[in-house]
Amino acid sequence: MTSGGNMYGGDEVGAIVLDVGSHTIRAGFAGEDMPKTDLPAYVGSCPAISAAAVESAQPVDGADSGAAKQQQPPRLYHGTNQISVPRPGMEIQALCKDGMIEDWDLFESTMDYLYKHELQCASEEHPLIASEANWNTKAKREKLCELAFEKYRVPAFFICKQAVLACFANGKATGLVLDCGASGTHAVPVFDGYVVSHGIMRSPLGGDFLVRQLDNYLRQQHKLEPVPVYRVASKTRVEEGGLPVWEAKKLPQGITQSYHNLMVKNLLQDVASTVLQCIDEPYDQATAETMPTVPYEFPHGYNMDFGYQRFRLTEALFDPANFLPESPGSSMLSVPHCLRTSVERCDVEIRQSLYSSIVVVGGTSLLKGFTDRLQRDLTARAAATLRLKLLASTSSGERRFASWIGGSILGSLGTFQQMWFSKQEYEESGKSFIEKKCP
Amino acid sequence: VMASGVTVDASLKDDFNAIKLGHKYAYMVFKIEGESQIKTERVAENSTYEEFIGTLPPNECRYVVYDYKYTLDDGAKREKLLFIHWAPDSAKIRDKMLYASSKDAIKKELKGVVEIQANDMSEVDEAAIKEKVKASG
Repeated sequence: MTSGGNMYGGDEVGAIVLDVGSHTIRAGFAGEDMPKTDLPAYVGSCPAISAAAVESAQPVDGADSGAAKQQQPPRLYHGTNQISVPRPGMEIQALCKDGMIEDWDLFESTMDYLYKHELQCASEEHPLIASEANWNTKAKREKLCELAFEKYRVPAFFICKQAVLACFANGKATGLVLDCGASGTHAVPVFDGYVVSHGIMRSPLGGDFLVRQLDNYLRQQHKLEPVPVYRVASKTRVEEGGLPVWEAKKLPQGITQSYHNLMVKNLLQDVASTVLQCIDEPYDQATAETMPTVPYEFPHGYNMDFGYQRFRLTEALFDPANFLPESPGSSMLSVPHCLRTSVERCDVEIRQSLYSSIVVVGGTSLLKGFTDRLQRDLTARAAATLRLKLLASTSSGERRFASWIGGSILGSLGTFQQMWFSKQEYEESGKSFIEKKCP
Repeated sequence: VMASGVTVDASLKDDFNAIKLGHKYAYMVFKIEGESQIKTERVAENSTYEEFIGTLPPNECRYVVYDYKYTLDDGAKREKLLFIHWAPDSAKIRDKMLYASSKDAIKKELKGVVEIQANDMSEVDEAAIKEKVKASG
């Protein structure tokens, strides 16, 4: 099918869809159900040493000093497989800060890697539709646009707020998007397809927070040092709670703290997704103790049963004042309170529409019991006449990749082909024209 | 706002005027054809509200204009045009995305309507509708 006025003038090849988050970057082809790749939003960076400095152990004379000073760029590693290998001097560096792209050099290297190894296509042959943080700055959006056209020579580009994509993908043009991700939980009101910026509420209570809770508990209360798999050569079967019996792997010198921290984090994420659950009513110790326990075996063989802690560790999401061990009586807002505050910041006329269209997305929202408890807590504090409805897809893929999927559908619509910001328009009007094309 | 690029069939405007100005129909249902154009799918000259909601497809999205007649507490009779964006929870995600991102295109053609977003039968329940209509003044 050809649509008249194909702005970018190319053949109708599939668009690439890019959804950048603080934890992972989702990328794939428009028209597909799921992203092709869910890449970590970090890069492993190994400093390169100049050849001259390696060869000579002494300071070099005048003739060679230029060569010795010349440093090669660091060697970069992308993707879970590459990053997981313990390498001397490899530091883990994040691409994003505050949900937005921060390190553009590392981001570019990731894009190069994505095109070459994951998507395996030429950037100049595919229009690019990207999502952006709901509070993305004008400068950053224009910078991404410029990068796409100047470096990657894309034939067309589009950018759209993550919450709008997620909201639309759930069938609503107006709704309160509750995005529970790694970096935190954000309540973003969307009205008729526009993010209501002054209503956005951001809370640090998210996946990373839960991992820290778990880490504190294991180290301080349970006296367990989480040993990631990269350090384990072999382990022996021990009984529940017994001292682990394991052999350490012979590792190269110079493994960095940042690498180790990431490996521990990955391990704890696995523990969290296996054992943590939200209790359906405000936490009660006696009730929690009657709930089923869940066992977990650590890479070095230590195995334990998680009991009431399964529920106690997640309670801070709903009651930080009482359940944040490091800052008891914290004034931090709970997730339900964060949501309510967001709605209350919006015009009184749209509040009922927002409450009846709460779109729950994000990987952390998949925590067992989370949506039930959220529904309960919201209902308990709401007027009897208030209609509350949570839309939380039962498909974990739809929850985790809602924005990506929205972009995939949009990018694959025949009618959308005339909506792109084309290369020609970019050349004529410059990157600031993006404000008109992608309102 | 971010739009899908889907267009509205030329005759849709006439159909809308027939219901708005001519009060010819109880309701009309619009469908996106071929992922490219919003067209009138069907109309009903006579219908009760109950009968109408029984005809909504359970797993597919639609747009509807309904000529809603109601009585105020003081007995005064009123009539308001409802614009219903019907996106059932069980519809395919592609359908939901398509209708949500095309809503602006059809809404531009419909003046003086009270908008209802509905994902399930409880949201098109007459009590809920009446409340919304009264609140719109």
